[in-house]
Amino acid sequence: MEKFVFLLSLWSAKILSLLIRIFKLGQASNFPGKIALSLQKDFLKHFILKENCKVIVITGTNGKSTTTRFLSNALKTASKKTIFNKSGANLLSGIATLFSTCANVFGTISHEYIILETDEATLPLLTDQIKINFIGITNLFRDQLDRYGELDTTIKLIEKGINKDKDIVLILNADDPRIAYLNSPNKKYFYGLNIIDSHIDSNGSNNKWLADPEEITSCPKCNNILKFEKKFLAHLGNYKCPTCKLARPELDFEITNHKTDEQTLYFDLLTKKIKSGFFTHMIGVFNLYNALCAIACIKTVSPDTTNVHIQRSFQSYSTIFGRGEKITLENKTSWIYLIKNPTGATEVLKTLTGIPNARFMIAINDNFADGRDVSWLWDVRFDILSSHKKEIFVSGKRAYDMALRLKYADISQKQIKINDNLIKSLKDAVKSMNEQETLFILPTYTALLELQKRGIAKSEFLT
Amino acid sequence: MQNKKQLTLELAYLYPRLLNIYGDRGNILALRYRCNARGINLNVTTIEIGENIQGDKFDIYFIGGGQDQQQQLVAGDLLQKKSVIISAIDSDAVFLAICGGYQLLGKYYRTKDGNELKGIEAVDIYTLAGEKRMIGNVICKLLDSGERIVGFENHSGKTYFGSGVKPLAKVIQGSGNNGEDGYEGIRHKNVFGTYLHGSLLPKNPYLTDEIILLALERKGLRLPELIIDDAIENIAHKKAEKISY
Repeated sequence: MEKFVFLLSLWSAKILSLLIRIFKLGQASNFPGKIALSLQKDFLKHFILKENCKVIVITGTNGKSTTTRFLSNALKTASKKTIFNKSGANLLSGIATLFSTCANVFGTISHEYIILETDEATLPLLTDQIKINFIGITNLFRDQLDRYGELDTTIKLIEKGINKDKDIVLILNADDPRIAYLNSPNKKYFYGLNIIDSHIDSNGSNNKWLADPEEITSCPKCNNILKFEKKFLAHLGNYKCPTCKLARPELDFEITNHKTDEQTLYFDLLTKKIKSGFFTHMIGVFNLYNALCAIACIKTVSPDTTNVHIQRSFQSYSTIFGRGEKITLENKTSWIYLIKNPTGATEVLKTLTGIPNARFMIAINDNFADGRDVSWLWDVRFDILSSHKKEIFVSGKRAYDMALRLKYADISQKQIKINDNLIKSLKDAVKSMNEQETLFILPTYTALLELQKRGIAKSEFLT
Repeated sequence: MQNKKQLTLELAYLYPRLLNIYGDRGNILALRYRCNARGINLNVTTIEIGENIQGDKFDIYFIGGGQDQQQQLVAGDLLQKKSVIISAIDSDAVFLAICGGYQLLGKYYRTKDGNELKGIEAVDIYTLAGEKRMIGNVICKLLDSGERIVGFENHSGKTYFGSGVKPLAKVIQGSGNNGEDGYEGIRHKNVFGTYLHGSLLPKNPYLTDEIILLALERKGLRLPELIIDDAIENIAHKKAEKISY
């Protein structure tokens, strides 16, 4: 009977996927799986995986999609049969859709590697249903607190997911204390940065309260405040507890130095005492972390994938929907960078304001997928834009909240161009540019979906 | 004002490192912006765990919300600052306390398992852990002026008050203090306690000015007359009043 319900659910999902695709009814990446799960709650449990199949989960607040894509690309370059879920489809419904699409009509999946970008809160639901071999965790930042409650709850959900299976191997960001010391007896590998750059006190002592948004600074063991020797990105860094002497774990994978130009990151990776150089056409410290997490995962899950495979996959990497995506509008260059939380947005601003002739458009929505609460805008360091001389275009459902945020970051009211219609705002922005300038469009998630629907951003979900 | 000496207000920002979620720093930015516009210098001093407060120095105090673990750290430290803060409140210093910080000004926060996180008993309120998180946009009406205030709440604690305090506002939309009695926040002397993030002050310039006015009055000064262009503030406020989720 169970088997029958499973096959019925599977075929329903397959037929739905097909129909959505044929009639171009929209995004096929969640709905079929949602229906299958509503027909059979433990739908995912019934798939038959190859005996040596490895299931790898990538979770954390920022960088999941990029890391997943890096990892999948490298495995594919090394000729491994690999599947992964598309960015955004990271709830059970998205994973169920992926499984339904990739399985044959009997529910057998014949791939060697299944990479699952997984929403933090979904992890325990996922480990209930399928056997996971590896979990890579990127970082934990405040993100949509209105949906998940507080960060302390998020780490507990992750621990709950992991602690169902002692055999899961963990690949953890050592620079994030809460992740490095998450409560679990499982085998752990650590990755982290050992580079020179550090942003501690970059803001001067008078305005400490205006510093970068930061999360956890208390010791995971004794709760006292951690001391950081270096911070590379928000609260990610090299730390020690002055009271109980807890320190950042020894690194199995580390980046020892890096340099960057306008389009490319070059870095050296040290593991097992061997140093190798890599480069990728992306910028920002956040992408340095994403590349590092991906390499740590690749080397753990597939030791025979070589540095040559990895470098080749980095070179062929095409950016994901909205994560540093290049588009051309009326012969002018634009890039789209998704913003969704204080740390991610602050890092994007820091990276982009360094680029000459940069122009900005910011689009803020407050739909469910963006988070209903726009308070987070006040934790973003928009003051980084205060020396910007040109107009800044703001749009989206909460355009006025964004405009107000800029005004209180000492950006002159005259410079702020408000239009809650996204397309009109974008047209005005492009019209105002000269040919040397580059427009950086910073949308929240559903604003990005709108750009996609209008054919401006890539149609990743339909591929 | 005659001698053109620059007016200065001193603000103590309590625990910005630990209580720093939900954009609470926006409140300080709003106070600073509207002070500067009137030629008043707002001096912000941060007070972290273990640091002393020079009680008589400050005109305005601010404390925001944090996550449970951080709030516990703060609670212990705040108890040591109890007498300084209470005497500041008694001398009519203006105090804006939001969410977790608001709860800590009361008698206690009682968790589901019956443990009590002690507050500093500066105002006659107490908070009980609730089953359901109260999350969403809030519209309410200030009791003393009838002005509408908008914000976003996200709390599971339910706050109730004793006889010595009165509520800050009547809830039009949202849960407010406890989701039961229809009130939001408290007002006691010059203490404003509230659950509203948003950030609260930028979209509610009326309340921002009220805080500045009270701080100046306490020093025997008047709010310099100046009309600030509030076009963006007002539209953002109006739009927030139309949000029904």
